[in-house]
Amino acid sequence: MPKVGMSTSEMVLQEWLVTSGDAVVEDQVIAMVESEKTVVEVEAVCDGFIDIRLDEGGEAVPGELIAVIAESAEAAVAAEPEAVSEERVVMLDGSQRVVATPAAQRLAEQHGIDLSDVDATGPKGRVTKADVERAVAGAAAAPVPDSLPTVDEAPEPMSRPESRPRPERLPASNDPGLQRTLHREMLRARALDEGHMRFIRRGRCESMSHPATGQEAISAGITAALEPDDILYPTFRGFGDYLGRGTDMNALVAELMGRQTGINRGVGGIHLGDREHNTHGVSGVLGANLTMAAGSAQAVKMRGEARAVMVHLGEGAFNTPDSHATMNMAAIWGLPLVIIVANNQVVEFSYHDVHFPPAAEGVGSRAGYYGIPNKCLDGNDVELVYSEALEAVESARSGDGPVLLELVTCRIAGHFDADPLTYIDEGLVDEWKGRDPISRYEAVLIQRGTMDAGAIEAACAAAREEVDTAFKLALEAEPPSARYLYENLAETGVL
Amino acid sequence: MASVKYMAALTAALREEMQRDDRVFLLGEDIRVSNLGITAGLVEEFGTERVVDTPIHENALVGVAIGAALEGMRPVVEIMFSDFALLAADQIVNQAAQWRYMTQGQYEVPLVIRMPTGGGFAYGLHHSQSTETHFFQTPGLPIAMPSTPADAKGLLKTAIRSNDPVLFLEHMLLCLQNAEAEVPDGDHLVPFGEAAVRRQGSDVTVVAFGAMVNQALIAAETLAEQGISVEVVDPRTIVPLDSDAIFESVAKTSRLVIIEESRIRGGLGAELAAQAAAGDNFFLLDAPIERVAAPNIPVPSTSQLEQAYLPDSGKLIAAIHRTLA
Repeated sequence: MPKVGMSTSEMVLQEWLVTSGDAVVEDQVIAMVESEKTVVEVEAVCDGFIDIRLDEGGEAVPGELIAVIAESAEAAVAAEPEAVSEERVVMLDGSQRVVATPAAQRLAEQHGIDLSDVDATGPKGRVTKADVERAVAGAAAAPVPDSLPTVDEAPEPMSRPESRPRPERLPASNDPGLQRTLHREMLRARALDEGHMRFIRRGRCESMSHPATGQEAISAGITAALEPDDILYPTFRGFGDYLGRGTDMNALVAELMGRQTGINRGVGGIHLGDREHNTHGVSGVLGANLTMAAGSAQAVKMRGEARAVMVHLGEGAFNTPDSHATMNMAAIWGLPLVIIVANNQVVEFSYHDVHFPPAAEGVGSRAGYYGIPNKCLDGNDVELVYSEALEAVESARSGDGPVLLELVTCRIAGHFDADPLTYIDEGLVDEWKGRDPISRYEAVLIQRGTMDAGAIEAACAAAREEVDTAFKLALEAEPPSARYLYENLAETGVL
Repeated sequence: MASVKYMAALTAALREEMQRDDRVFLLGEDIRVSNLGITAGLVEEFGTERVVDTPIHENALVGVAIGAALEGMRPVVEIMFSDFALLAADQIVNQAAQWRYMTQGQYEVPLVIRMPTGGGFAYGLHHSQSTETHFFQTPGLPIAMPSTPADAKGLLKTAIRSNDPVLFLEHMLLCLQNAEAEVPDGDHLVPFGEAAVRRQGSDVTVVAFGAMVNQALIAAETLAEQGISVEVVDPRTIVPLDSDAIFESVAKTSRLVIIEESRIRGGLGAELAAQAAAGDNFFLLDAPIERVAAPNIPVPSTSQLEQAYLPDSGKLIAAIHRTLA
């Protein structure tokens, strides 16, 4: 049974789309299950022949066995699953499966131990609580830092600005290379959201997904407007901001999958930072990045550097009080800050009427009080997003102070992976599906002759393949070492 | 070695570090004028770019400091009273202290948050609290509580050079007292996590934090006249906490009394009492542990009531007598 969101309660097997003995292929939708909140698809985790072990209408908790897929129909029937009420299959694919007692699972979860790393001594290769306790003891023996502070002994002089020539940029409509980049980055962002959701629903990925479905033009457009030395505080919604800045897809996916090859070694999860690409990271506290972005802009200004700092957030996060503090300080201090508000018309699990007064016109217009130039634009027009973001970034870099862009779009997916999006009018969703930024831009590219249908299909396939490869690599990668628990906490020994 | 007041030692540390490293800058509410006077005069020397007055919004100003620190600057934030640090709890606890861990060392947050703290002036409920225990559980957050002018200077200079976010508590009684004490000349640095034994003794160990160190020394002097020998240990930083030095002293005296100005429930004394009850330390004591701390009530505004609330040498002396009874 797949894990749906944070729910651990029983789910109902609504319908099997295959029957015992059928051949199935990896990713094939084989069943529909229903939780308290939503109905989700169950996909086959590998190729093979299926033997169904839970009838339609039956109930199971996430992780519980509902079917066996084996190399042959006979092998599938012959496989002896553990009694489902007592044991839960933690991981199941064609080659490997780890069975553990509930106490062992709970203990392993509490200590962040990967059960596949634990030497099993129980009957039938079962991991017992005692096995996990031995693994925990091994982890606890990992060395901890000593307690003397390390200090910055010799300060380097503060970096001073270099005159950094910016590359000449053509208007997007005259730059086929840029057009293909904008298209590709939208595709990569969507493919990653889709791949992430797929692995979550299979129960093979613990991190949460907050998909940006329908909003990909914003991340593609704003990141294309930045130079590598500009700074971005990204949104938590989707990963297009990271991809557009150059974050490695494989390292990104490994982080989402909780692997030590991840960009934060599998420790940070969806709270990602990528220093190499000046993408300073996103907190789990929405809106917390706003003042941090102002601080980075202050550092840039103090050093006299011609760099812009951009912060990208939704209108819900922009509703936190720090938005006012940030606009206030950015305006008082004349900071090189670009605030991107993606107004996607929904805030977590509710529509705008819960969050904004009926008489309000827009969200970004609040910047007017602070004397900050602001515009409200179509956020599903990727070239418009790009060109306006470029103008804003150049203005900020040149010392003209902060700028705000409100980019209107619509999130046509739930707030997170298991949210069925019941709180928004279906008509509105359908209307915005018709304005999908990707297909809309593809029509433009075809009309201009930048790409033909074949090139577009090839780009879509390449994005999907890149994501699939990244997930395959992540599956093979090691989980974080238990010693990471006590590393990178602080230089001063604070344990 | 010069004789210096506590507040002047803090100002000297800021000035020296700003002269030494042009990445160091100050920000806070009204720090050009300076409420207590700690940052007074620095704007004339370093300009408004490095002595930055901010709007009133503690969470935002710590957030700004984090963003500057992530970009390689070394901001020193002043929170006007430590009570107001609770307004910045998100940026301090969730962001500053955890960014390094979250990004697995890609980023450091070299940031100091200075906060005048504590009671004694009848300033009332929200300008008198000792809030260090609210932050004591935060992973990744060193916390310093200097009790002398030499430590005020040496710990602050260490904090500014540290690559970690540091909470730095400056007790207002110490800031505003006229007493001077010796401060070593030159580039005086005091390491974190090394306790100082302020007075040697053999009958009882008193662990005292921040402004309570002076109360402990007064008590020790009084009790010496009664033939009781008190050892006073000042941990100087509560994160990291020098438990080795504390229990080395307890091993000698077999008696432990803890005095702190924060509230007793879940306080620093509670932590040390728990450590005393665990492992080999369990066998060190000959008498029950005594904790002297503020009660679990708000700080009353009237001075008579505030004095009843605050721990002091008299309450400590009574506690020491109980352990020796």
